Amino acid sequence: MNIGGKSTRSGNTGRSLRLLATALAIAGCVSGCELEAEQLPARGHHRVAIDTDAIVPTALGEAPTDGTPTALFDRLELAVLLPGELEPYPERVRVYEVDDSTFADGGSSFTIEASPGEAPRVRARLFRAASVYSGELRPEATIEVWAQLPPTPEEGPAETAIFLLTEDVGVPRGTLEAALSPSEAPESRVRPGGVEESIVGTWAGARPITCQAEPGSGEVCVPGGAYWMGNPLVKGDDFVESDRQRLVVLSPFFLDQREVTVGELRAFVERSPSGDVDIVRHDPDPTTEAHFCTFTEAADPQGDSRPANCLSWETAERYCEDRGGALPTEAQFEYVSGALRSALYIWGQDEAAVCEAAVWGRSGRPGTAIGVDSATDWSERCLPSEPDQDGPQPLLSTNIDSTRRTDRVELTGGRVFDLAGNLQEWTRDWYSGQGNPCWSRPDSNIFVDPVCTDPGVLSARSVRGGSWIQDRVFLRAAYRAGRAPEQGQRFLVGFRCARPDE
Amino acid sequence: MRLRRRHGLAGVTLVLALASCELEPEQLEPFPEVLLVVDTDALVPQLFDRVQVDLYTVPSSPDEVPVWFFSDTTLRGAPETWPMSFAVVRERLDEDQEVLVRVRLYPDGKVRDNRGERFFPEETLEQFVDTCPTFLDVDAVVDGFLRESGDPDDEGVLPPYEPLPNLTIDRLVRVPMTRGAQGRIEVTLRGACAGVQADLVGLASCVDGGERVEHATEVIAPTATRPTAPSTIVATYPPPRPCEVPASPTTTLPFDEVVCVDGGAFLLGDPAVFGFGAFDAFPERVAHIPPLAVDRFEVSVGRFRRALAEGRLAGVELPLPNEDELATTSLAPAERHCTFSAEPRGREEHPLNCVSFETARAFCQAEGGDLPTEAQWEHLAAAAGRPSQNRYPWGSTEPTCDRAVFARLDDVTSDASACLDLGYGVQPLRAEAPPDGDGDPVGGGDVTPTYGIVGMAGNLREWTRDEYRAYCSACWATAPLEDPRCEGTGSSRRTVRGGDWGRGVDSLLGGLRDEGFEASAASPRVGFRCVRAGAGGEP
Repeated sequence: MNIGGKSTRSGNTGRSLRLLATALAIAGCVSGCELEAEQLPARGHHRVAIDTDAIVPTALGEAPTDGTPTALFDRLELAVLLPGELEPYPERVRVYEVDDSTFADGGSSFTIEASPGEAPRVRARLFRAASVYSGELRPEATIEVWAQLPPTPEEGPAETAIFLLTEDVGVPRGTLEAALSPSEAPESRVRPGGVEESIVGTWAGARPITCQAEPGSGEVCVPGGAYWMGNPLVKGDDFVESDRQRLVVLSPFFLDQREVTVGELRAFVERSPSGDVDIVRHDPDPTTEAHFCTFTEAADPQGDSRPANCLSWETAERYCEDRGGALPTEAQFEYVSGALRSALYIWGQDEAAVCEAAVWGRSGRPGTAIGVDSATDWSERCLPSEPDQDGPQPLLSTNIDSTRRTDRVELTGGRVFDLAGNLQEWTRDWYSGQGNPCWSRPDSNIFVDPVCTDPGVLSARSVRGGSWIQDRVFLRAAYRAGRAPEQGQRFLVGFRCARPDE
Repeated sequence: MRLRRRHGLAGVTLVLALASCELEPEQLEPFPEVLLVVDTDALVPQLFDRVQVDLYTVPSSPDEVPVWFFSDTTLRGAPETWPMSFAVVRERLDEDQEVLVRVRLYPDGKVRDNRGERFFPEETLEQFVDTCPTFLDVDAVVDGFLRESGDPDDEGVLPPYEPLPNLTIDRLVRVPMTRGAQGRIEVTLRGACAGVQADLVGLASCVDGGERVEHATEVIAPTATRPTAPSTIVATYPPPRPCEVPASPTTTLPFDEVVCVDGGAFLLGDPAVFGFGAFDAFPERVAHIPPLAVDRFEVSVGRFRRALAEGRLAGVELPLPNEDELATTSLAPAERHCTFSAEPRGREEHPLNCVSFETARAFCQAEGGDLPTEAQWEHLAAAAGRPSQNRYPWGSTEPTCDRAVFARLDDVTSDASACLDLGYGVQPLRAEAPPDGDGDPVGGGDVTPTYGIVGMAGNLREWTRDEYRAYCSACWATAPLEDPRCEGTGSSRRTVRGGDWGRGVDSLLGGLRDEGFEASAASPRVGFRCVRAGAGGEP
């Protein structure tokens, strides 16, 4: 039977770990059944307090208040190793679900029993359930501290506090061989004594910051904040893989609610020197790729509401600069595409999408440039009955009454549409694999307003989002792809603009 | 473990506690209180480790639906923390009342957005043969199905996520709260009920799992006494089923070695799978797999030839022959990539390809077995013999060229040519002697841990027995937990599994199922292996 220990802090949930000869027992208890003090072991033991500055969920049943940052961590794992052990026995590893109440009132405390004189090590890890895939903790998305506890006293508790700080994410503090001994040094993650007042939720990077300036026409303010860029569920070949996660901190910015339309682009084209504009015009011949290009020289009431495609990255960037902005960065695009909370899709975690939810899966009509002549299904599952509905569709925002359309996210200042489907979109970044220094660094896994300015060997620009031709998995927020300037299929790519809040 | 705040409006509090420190009823305030002691026979922590408890009002008339008002969750991955218990406590009581308690056990992290319960009537599943139902419509009540709702005046906040129904043991219990009464109710969550969603309209849930769809919601009269010591049946279902077939029958040829693989349970499907085809590897589901005697290698040309010579394949269509050398470039005709030949041409230790589903299956049946089902195949590729499921047949480390036979095309613009340096095309089942002349001679393919099954990921894709249907189609949605399969839908296409020499790194995931081939088709990318019953009965 386990020992349920009384918490050191009144009103807090008590936890107890006990080291037996071969097994570590961890027991939780609630105030209604706390053991009497005299039942607690008289012999020496450790009391380990865990605290963190991380953003953890609001306790279930508590309404989050406005401005509460999205949780970034929600699981705490503790493992205890006796001297000489090279890895923790499974019985000595416990995972707890944590929320802000877990750390309230001075951190969460655990009791560990060991033989007098024996000095156990503790590995404490903070992570989130959604970043675990195939049972593996992803080190880059984990805060990890190894603590070397002092020798167990003959009697009474030895108190140690472990601090799991967000800035340490992806960079373990201490190792199995070199666990950190308690120290009073200012930077120390392992300190003697307990925790007086919890710092939970104080990490500044996640604080939502609204724009100071006013949004322009058709723009919406995307509040600054932090999110997990990359998703363990986004696997694939080198060009699209995005399963490595990083903590991204973004400043507030303005983003177009819609992709730039043919009508909007025409005015810019007409007043630009022709050498500055690289755009393929619509071709009426359905067997050509240019048939799926939307741009026409002459105004066309129907075609002008379609998003513009078939243009070079430079043309798109020039258009945005002309408006005082720039193309959105990959990180900005993914932030909004994951509904500001690292969701799998713009509409959330749900896998299934109906064909009406977004413009996708419309490839394969025979007799066209993208016809599929194959015994195997490809992504034609949402092919509409009428051929004139192939290709980039008029902006979905023109049809906002549809209750089935979910390719949009609701922000305070308005909605942002079509990030997942219809057209892929140019971003400001050069494309590089997720292992590139643009996206992974050994010293820190926190990236502030990242943008990849290294053309690398690929010399491709990054495009984000899925398009009308693609299958559902490309609608996932973290999917990424690169397109070299000379690469074809520009009929899949459109753009929208972003603008800094200044 | 947390103590939950008292819930004001409904006046009911949920207090979760460990079995080791069960609440003493007499220590609480003298209000009605029922202790629920919940045990399970399901596989904890291998498959299940998180519990969500929800409280609902019990509707007073058939026109009403239960109204959610409280939730709590707890991780229960440690078997010694079962049975778990929690108390439903009424802070005040004016009249006798019932509370609907919903207990769900599921794998941590397997959640979706909680937008209110979305029920999909099972009888309408029939129409979804090749497509998925659209019941996950997000925005509004356009599908006519019940949405879970909380009391709008309630201070309670719906949990942001809910367990995926396919992976959840879902149980409803009506708990009477009687003035002045205190007591205890014991509930067992049955592993056999995994994937059966509770019916909040009919107030029914799967109770004993004898039938997956058997529903009942009992009102259990609390008992006053408590047993002296709680005991658990955790991780007893499905029971261990060891393989009992001799591991390796006497053979005269290499590569007909048989591996005896114990039965097991795992999550079929992989939400990360790159769904190039219309058939993604989700929704995931629970699958129980019987013990199997499995070919360690894909069926070799020599082995097939021996069965021919022994007259066991009378009337079977032969694989496409290739009376030439194996192709060394993709410019060569497709049949030059085939390994079979009328007379031996030095490819007897190559895996057999260019073989139809019918021929492959006829071979396996002539050997006293059958092709593996998709679920059996994936169990071998991702779960069998490992403490937790892996992404790839060898484990969860990322693929490298020496790990499996893949990316051996000669199209340098393609991701599928990254390993061409090691040789174009299909490879022998066993590599020539290793470079240092020492070590395990199975370099011809990837190797699974514990059982050492070779070539699941690469070299050739493999025929499976199942018809090629989406996991969300009726065929899969209604398949049993035990040895699930999809047959009899009238499809002429069968699923092929695994990657092959001509595909890229993303084809090696154990859960990948992105293509079905016509059963009569013969491809230089596709071979097969056989399985036989590992402990009596059909494989």
